[in-house]
Amino acid sequence: MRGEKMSELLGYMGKVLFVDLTNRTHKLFPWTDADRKRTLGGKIMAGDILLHHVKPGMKAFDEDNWIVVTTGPLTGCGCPNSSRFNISTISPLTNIVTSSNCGGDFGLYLKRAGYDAVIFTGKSETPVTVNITVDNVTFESAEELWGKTTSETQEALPDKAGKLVIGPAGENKVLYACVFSNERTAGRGGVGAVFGDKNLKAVTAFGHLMPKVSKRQKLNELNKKWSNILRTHPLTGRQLPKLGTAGLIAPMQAHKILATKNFSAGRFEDFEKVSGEELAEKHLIRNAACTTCVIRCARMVSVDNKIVKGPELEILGLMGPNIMNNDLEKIIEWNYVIDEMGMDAISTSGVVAFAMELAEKGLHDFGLEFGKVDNITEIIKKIALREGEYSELADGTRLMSQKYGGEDFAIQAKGMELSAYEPRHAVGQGLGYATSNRGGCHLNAGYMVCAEGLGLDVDALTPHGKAALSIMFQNLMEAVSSCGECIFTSYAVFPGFLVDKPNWGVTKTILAVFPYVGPVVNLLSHFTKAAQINIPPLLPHPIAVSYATGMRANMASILTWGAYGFNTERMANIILGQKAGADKLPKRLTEELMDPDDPRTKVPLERMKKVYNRARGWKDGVPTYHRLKSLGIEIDKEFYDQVVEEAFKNG
Amino acid sequence: MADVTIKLFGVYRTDTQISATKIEADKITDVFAVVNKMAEEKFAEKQKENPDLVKPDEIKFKDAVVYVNGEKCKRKGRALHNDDEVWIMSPASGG
Amino acid sequence: MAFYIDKNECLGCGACAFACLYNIPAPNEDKTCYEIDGEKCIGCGQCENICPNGAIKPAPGHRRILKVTIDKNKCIGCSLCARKCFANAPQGKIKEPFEIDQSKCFKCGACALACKKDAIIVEYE
Repeated sequence: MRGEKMSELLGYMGKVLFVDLTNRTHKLFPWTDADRKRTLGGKIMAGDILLHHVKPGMKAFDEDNWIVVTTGPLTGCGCPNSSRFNISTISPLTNIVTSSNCGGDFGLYLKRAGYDAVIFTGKSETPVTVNITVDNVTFESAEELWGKTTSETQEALPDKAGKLVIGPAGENKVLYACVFSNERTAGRGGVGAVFGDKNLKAVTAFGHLMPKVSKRQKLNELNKKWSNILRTHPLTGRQLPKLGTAGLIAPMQAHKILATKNFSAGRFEDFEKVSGEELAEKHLIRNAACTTCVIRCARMVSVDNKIVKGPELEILGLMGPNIMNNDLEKIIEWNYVIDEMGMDAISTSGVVAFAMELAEKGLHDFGLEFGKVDNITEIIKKIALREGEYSELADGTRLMSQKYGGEDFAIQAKGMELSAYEPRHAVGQGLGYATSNRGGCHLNAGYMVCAEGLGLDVDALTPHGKAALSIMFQNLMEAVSSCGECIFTSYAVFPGFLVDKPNWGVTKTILAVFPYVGPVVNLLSHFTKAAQINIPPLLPHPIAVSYATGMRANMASILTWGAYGFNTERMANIILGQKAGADKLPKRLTEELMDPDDPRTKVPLERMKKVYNRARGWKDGVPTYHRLKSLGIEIDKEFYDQVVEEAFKNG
Repeated sequence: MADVTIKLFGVYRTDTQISATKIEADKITDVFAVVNKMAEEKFAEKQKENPDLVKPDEIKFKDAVVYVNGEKCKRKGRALHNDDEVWIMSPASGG
Repeated sequence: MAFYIDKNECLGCGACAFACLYNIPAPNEDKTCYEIDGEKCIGCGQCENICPNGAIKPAPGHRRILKVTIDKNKCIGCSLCARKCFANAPQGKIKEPFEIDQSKCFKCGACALACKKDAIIVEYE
């Protein structure tokens, strides 16, 4: 199994490990250079593997559900911000594929053990830790670790190793439980619950190998320039290091996109008390960073005299304004508890807000009320342990609303709770939330909100151009993260001089034109040959991929890989039973005006979706066979026809 | 001259160490003049204790996102009135 | 043989600490900068290309290792080199001369430093 080089391409380690947890065996999973060229790595690779594995009716807690952990070709090659790896599986929260990205060390160490990816199948009879090294894969009892928090579990494992662990929430199959690697998390979609269902408490990886690259000198020079671009760009070089993602609270307030009271409004009177500025001034001990990161945006704070990872934007917004809480110290405490239990902070917060509105409307009382903060810590723990009726909160807002009502204000898409950006004042983001493959994720959405008022200030309320731009950003980010890179490295696509000078005449002109470039962008996505160029200051990624692997790559390749990945995951979801028309948002966001005096302040979803589907080559959220073929996605025609017929059936 | 409240956010706040203050100003450009002067004075004071401190850049209207009473302000000549609240913020992004 | 970190270029990303099998790069208190203890560093070079800002450089006098072999006449087969080696490169039976599997050896020189019988030959550039 070890020894022979199985790839002509460099950058990759050349092997994919396949682990059977039922029988405690392992082997190599066939993966060729042709596969690498087609899928790049990361979530695109995982999506491709799952597309050819999943079957209609397959569920998250089936033994046959695979957990696919994939790295990117740039990981371990010296690139800045290149620690990112991906975990894809069928999500128990949404019943479709979730691909969950993480900045922890595990991917780096997995490559040192000689593998680009590891796939887990089956189910261990008893709690197990799987240890992956260059020469061996061992299965160790995890009975002693079972019940431990995420940090306790990591502390009990060897220090010098990459680790994936779950906490009590994963063990109890909270449908949005997550997986931790160092202080970072593969947060969304319940990958931790799938680990828990398989009794997979932890995975470790260690080895001495390092990826070799095709053009070492050129790559080193590029990496240095790239680091400099990131450190001088206004977003990655100033705002993110100084304030973290938490620095977004104030701009979101200004732009009325700060989700407040379960997405009833876009502004919160006490926003300053839970802002990034307040966090930096009163609580920040020091910055922290993922390994290889030159941006260093994470916040370290103190809880119970321990230095721990502090809150990011999402929990500040969703456990602050969204539940009418202005107590930052409480949010810091809840963030710590949620991390220790091993749950997705976004979904946990969304569930809490929904429960509060259920109580307000007299539909059901879980003891949660808007503005009441003294019982939330205990309730978070009860959710993680599925105690009593709090087990229902562990199932997410969609299932809760099916039981208690309130579907119009269960703020989820495809079953996954939305993040903190209120889309009724950033309608492109709303389109993104609805069309995101994995559900209410703002990043898989394409993160249009960055252009709609945060980094840039494109008209946030016009639907014009938002479909084309969403598709381009969705594809771009798909590929950027599949390289192994943090998606913050894609912000340089917005030139620094535009971001830096929002009131400059030139900037205002460019931004005014932005929504009308839709047709040009669409043309580009069909005729990507036109983009067979590289513009290093904007997008170093394809050049880095070339220098690392020896593959030819340019901006066109990035968009092509991205389109491949986005469509692959979508088709896997259709096979798993996603219906046509599933790209929806709750009625509160599409039918209720945020500003009663402004008819534009709701998400004109259907209108934007028409343009989106046309541009994607989809019919009501289902890729056409022709589109799949044109992207090189292989699927049996008869099988395709069967699953698509099912997708268009009612009920 | 109007009595207005100024609040700085983002890197403008971290760099100048000014979070909120009340000043007198007729229009938006006056606000920038006052804030830059305050920042310079604050820097001069702190530099006595820490000579290595870097002087913050002057904040200019074209570089900032400006809101007055919760509404976006597009003109630097916009007049101000008593009790107006002005937010000066830097562009931001995240995840 | 050793490497050092240029403080002016170090961005504190921790990539070197990850790359080093011997846990030598150490951070300052707020983890904004790393330092290599020149006395402890064996100059294996695993960290050299991992730094995104090119801050890791060979110390004056550093020479790269081209090949590591075992002198069969001196080797007593104690296996200390095998136990030090992360790559499992020295192969053999106890009390018989060991041999280095060149396909696995990544030329760090740790075995040579450990050997008490001076039995390991290091060829430098």
